[in-house]
Amino acid sequence: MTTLRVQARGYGAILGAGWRTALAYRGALMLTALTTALSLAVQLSVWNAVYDGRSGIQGYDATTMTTYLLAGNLLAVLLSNQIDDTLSGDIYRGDHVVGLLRPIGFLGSHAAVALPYLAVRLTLVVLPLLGFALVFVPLATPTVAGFTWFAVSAVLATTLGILLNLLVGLAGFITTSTWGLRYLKGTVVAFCSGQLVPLELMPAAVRGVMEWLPFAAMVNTPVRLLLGRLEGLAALHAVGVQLLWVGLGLLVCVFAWRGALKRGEVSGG
Amino acid sequence: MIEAHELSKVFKVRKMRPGLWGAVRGLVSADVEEVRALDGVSFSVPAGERTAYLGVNGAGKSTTIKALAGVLTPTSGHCRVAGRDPRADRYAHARTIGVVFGHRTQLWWDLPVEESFRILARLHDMSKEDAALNRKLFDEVLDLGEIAHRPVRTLSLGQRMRAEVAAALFHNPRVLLLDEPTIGLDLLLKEAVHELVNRVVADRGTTVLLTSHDVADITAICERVVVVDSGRDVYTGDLDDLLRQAPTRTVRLDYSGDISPESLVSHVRHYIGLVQVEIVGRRRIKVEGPPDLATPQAVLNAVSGLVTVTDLVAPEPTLGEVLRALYVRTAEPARGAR
Repeated sequence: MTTLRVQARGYGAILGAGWRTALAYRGALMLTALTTALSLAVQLSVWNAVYDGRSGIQGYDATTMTTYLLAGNLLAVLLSNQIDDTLSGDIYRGDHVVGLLRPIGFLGSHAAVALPYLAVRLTLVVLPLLGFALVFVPLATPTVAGFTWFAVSAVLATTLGILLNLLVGLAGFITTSTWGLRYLKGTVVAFCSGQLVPLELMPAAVRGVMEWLPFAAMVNTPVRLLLGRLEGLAALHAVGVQLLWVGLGLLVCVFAWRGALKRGEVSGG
Repeated sequence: MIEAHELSKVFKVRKMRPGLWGAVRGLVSADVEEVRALDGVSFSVPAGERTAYLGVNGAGKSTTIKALAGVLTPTSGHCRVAGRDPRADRYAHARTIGVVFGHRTQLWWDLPVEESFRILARLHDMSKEDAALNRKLFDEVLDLGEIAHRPVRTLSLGQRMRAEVAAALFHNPRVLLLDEPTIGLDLLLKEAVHELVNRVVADRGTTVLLTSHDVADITAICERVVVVDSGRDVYTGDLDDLLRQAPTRTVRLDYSGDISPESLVSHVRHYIGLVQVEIVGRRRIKVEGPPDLATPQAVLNAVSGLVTVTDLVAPEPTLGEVLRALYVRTAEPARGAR
């Protein structure tokens, strides 16, 4: 019990440090808000052109599509948590040894740092952009059930984002630089998660593959739940699949970390 | 308190081929080279003792410290710190040890120094009283007050190192591992670090293992020495005993008298034998040779009746000289074996 209390106190300390660190880079947050807004504006213009004269595509009318893109892009802001960057950078320089010298879980402390980082992004990037969109952009209104499913699903999607970034960061133990891998991850997640195009609009064969990948659980699933396109048992099934991916992600992270510890090498003197 | 038994560590290092073409070839095939950083190092440090762990660059000092800190897995052999395998219970081990890696920071880069100490106090589950007591001590010795409110990333190397040493000692560890703890510090700050370590060690009985290229760190903090060379331990013993192992001693003599310097040199050389004698100034000679021959008494006897001695100096051999001789001595058998 005492050990648990001490561990909780330790994670609390790390969370506190994460808050202050996340707030230290206000300029970067403003830039994120700006690039997200610009990206959204470009995507909405493209889809506006696609919808010219059409009432809907595969059951998505213009308003639903706008809502999908807005929710998807804002969720994507929360999938980026910088763990991959900081973790792989630490491994590259050998600075991860400092984390190992603390009486607290190494991966857990990295994940703990991500939470305040995400909270700050939610407060200073996502909510202002959402507020702006609610006032100036016509959006579909979700049902209470849809919003509730979305809230649960978004938490799981964000957890998956943390786990994926931990794994990419841990790849630093194998490859010297993870820049390429991180770039690839960004592109794959944007496309395969349905952030740019709903998976339902993709050709059946492509969609079939995408739906078997964990990325779909990061944007496509929560946003479809928000829009009421998955209800009842289908919603339960979708969230269940998300939970499975989270469990699998946790296992893979733990094994990857144990492997890295066993390898136990440190760059630099 | 610290035990290392036949520790060895082999790193696999990818060899980089020179030039652009070499880099392109490296994309398809890579040569991997094995580097033996530790080759069966054994030593022990009793509780409360302060030991210097010395060696030239690449001798395996930092690798040993990392193995003892539990952040690196030895290829073979084992070590125990405070009765515990460093990798068996990482959290308990982390509470037992304090570590300074001179070129890495354990402080939070974007946060003020005092915030880092607050976090460390919570991480190590320190009572408010203990944390306040240590803060007061570190403020007093290392003058941390002036940098307390500045983010770590804005500190100079010297300022950061002060905070790093304080951070390593903050949770009252039983074992302190110091890897180049005074790198980048000026003379006064080095002395402050020595004072802090010595005060804490004296008050709390902390066991210290120090690696440093700075002889002042070693002589100011440590009483025992372990010397490693090419991944193996080549000397373990008291620092004073090591200093006595100097292969040569020097005696400098100032004199007055009518004898020509050349005649005096010749006479002293002939009288003592097997020593080098040279003129190093006006009416000043230097006698250098084996410690049992080049003694002040032997020099005095040699010049007795020839000159009036105005000054006689026999400086203690420096640790640097002794280590240099030790490295040369241990390298010779290795060369002979080849």
